[in-house]
Amino acid sequence: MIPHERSLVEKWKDKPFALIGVNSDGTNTEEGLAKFREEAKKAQMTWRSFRDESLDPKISDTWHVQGWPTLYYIDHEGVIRHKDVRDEQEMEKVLGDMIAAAEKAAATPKR
Amino acid sequence: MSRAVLAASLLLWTPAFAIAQQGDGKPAATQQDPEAAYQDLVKSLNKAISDWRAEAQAAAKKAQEEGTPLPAIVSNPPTKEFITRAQELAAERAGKDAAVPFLGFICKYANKEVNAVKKAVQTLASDHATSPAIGKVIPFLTAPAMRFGVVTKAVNGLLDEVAENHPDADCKAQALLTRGTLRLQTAQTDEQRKAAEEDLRKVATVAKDQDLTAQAKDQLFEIEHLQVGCTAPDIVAKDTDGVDFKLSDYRGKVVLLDFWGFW
Repeated sequence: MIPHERSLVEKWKDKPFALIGVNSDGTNTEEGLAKFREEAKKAQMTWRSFRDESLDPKISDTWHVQGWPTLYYIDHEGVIRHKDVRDEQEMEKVLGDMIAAAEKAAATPKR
Repeated sequence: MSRAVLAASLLLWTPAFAIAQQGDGKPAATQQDPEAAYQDLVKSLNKAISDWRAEAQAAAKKAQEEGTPLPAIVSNPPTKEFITRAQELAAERAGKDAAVPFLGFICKYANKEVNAVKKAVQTLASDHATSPAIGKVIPFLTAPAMRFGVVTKAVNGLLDEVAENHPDADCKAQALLTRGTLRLQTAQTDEQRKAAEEDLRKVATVAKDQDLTAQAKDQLFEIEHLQVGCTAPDIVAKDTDGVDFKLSDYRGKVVLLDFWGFW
């Protein structure tokens, strides 16, 4: 999972794309945060994650997350376009199409 | 539903009859009301589960270290004897409201005891569909309906019956809430999602208990805001380092939002 995500971030680093996590490792405690930082360093994570526990109810509860990982594909206008596509090739296709649409919208002058 | 709520509802009942209870090294109660019998059963199950968990974790760790397959204990929590006990306690109160919590216990805690669950659901449907006690056990039907294909139909039948015909508004509302939630979780088509939505919207019009309305509203949030085609709800929260940021900061970009953890 993480190596593939890292490759996506790398591949689209100059494109209108962001991988945002919602992390449930308990980084609201010193211990959880220390462990998280160590693991994140090992996994060479370069992207940002929300701290799931920083809201009450937790973000994952508000979003009715029933299993991990759960994925939402959100377009440049903030609209959910896909949920739970997990196959790596399928992910790349779906995201590639969404990025193309975002670039096209950015290139179209607004009236 | 919390155990405290169930306990409170059980306190309202007149014990059908007292039974003698023994075991666990506790002094035998000569006069045991249904609530105490139920609490004892839950307590001894929880104790057995926590003992089992410790043992299973140790066994799993050992297997991992030695590179051997996971031992059978890991997937076998000790539920069987408690399910059997609940069946006995329910049978002693057969046909009475006091049997309902024990039938609910079977639905809630069964692990592999599929036949016991099937019988419990059938008994709830045939003997207790209009009981005032049924509202409190209806939420326990969700898990078996999802897990055991053979009980899905019976659960749906019972939920339909209570949702349509129960004399008490909150029992009715609870059945609508559970049926709507179940429908939402299993929905594959827009039509099925629509049916789930109808149930959940109806809860507010039927329920007297505001907690049921709030739970239905929470489920509706998924339908209204988390479907494909919805504008994603904004997230305004802290990152893992404790720095504030917003999901909407990324408007203009495609965002892959990933709920994850190392664990």
